[in-house]
Amino acid sequence: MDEMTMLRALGAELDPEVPEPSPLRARVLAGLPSGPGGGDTDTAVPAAVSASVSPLRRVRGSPRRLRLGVAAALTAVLAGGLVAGGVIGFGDRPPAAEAAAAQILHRAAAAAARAPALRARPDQFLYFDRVVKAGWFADRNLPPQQYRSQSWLSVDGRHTGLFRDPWPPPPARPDGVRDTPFPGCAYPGAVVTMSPQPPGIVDRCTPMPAYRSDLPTDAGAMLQYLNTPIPNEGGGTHDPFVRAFDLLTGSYLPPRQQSAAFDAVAMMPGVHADSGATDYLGRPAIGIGRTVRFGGSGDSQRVRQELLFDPKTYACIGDRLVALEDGARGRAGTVINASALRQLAVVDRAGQLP
Amino acid sequence: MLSVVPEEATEVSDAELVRASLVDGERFAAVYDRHVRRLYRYACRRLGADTAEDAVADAFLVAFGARTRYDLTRPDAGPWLFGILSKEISRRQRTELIRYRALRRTGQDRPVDGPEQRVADGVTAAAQRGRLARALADLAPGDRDVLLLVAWGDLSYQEVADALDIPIGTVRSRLNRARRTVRAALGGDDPTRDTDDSA
Repeated sequence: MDEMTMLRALGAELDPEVPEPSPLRARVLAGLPSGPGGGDTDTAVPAAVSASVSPLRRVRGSPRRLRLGVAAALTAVLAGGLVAGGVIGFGDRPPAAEAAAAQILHRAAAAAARAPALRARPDQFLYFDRVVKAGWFADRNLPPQQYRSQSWLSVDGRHTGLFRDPWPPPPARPDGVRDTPFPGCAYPGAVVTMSPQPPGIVDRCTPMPAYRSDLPTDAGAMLQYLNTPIPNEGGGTHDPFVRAFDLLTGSYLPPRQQSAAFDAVAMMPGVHADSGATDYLGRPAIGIGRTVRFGGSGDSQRVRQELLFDPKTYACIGDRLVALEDGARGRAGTVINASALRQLAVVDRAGQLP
Repeated sequence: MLSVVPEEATEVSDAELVRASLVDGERFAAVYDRHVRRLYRYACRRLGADTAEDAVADAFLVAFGARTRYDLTRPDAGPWLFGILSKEISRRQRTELIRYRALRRTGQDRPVDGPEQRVADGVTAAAQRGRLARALADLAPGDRDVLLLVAWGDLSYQEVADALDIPIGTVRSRLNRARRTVRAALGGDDPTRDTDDSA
């Protein structure tokens, strides 16, 4: 037995009776400051952050973006798939259509400003119940998916939310739904991840509030906000319409912010009205959107991306993406993606139904 | 097959926990939970349970205060914590030396060389324990840190170098010197005395 072996044997003899004295932890932790150590806890969420996509933008591949529904999926495609082709407004509608769009958007802005605000505490969740059609998998050789998408998004972005939908698409669990937690960012700069289960800590985060009372309430300021590219945003093309689209479909804007957003979209060039639309539930709707080229260089297709408004109340009730010409995602007129909002409510816990 | 698990989602490193603790101090509790047992065991061997508890508690509080200077490129905070703990132990050197003296006495209380040369393993161990304890007490503090971080802390040479912030060559030379001292204290009882030190 050499001296090291003997030393190790002696060490083993000297081992403590308990692996860790029970009062030690409390003693040490009592010495640590509770809560955030830094003074930046209350730092406002950076303005240039899109509620629906940004939390995921560091994650490779687009499937995770899909968790947020069609809005985010669209953004993923527009930000990623369209890098080669770019987003191009064709201006193929007469100026009258733009004027009509602006008029409808101003009505929507007025209606939004009159609507009662949802009241929510920071620790509550916004519940979105949607019916979704996602056909953009065409380029992945997958059929269009349609499903119910329920999501609970943290009001202040610091609490762990939840997605409940039949994801991923078949063959995985075509019969049921999955619950996927969406970790909150407890403190700015803290690090979180979507997985593994339970949510661990692998990445820096910024709280992504679903209740966007932090946004500008003035149309000009809102337009400037929407025009500002998101730092580190994936893809190469910043599209203010997509930003507005994401905000309006992936989060909740209180009346003044929502009103400002509609007025801001009205100022964007190339936005047209389509009065004969229907939403994914078959409800009549007015489509407000613009024409873009969708897809990569090989199979790009002219499509129209629209926000859908109730023709009576001018409330935003959904969105859709329609093919304007035959292509990889369907013949002209095909609704490639759509989502219809069935319910928006405030609940106390992720997973709780209103 | 689409997966909802991002490729990056691996186990969280200490560095990430330390980084998180810069914003949220309570995150440091995870660092504590990961390392406390190993640190406490090491301190206990050197100081005894009561003093070890103090040393470990102080080491974690010092570490927390020093976390802004933690090298975030090092995923494992173990060597860093052992280095801080080593300083806390050195502040309690009197306790440590008293402990070794007590161990030495314990060893000498046992029959060392029975006339019949029928020395049971346990008796031999007791005897050797006394000699080991004396040798440990006689070591230069820096040599003792290196020797015990390897033998009792199970740190690699590189980890010892990181913990004590000394070159790895210094780790080797200190370890060689300490082992020679201990071997000499054990006298002719060690059949492996000529073993290569670098093993």
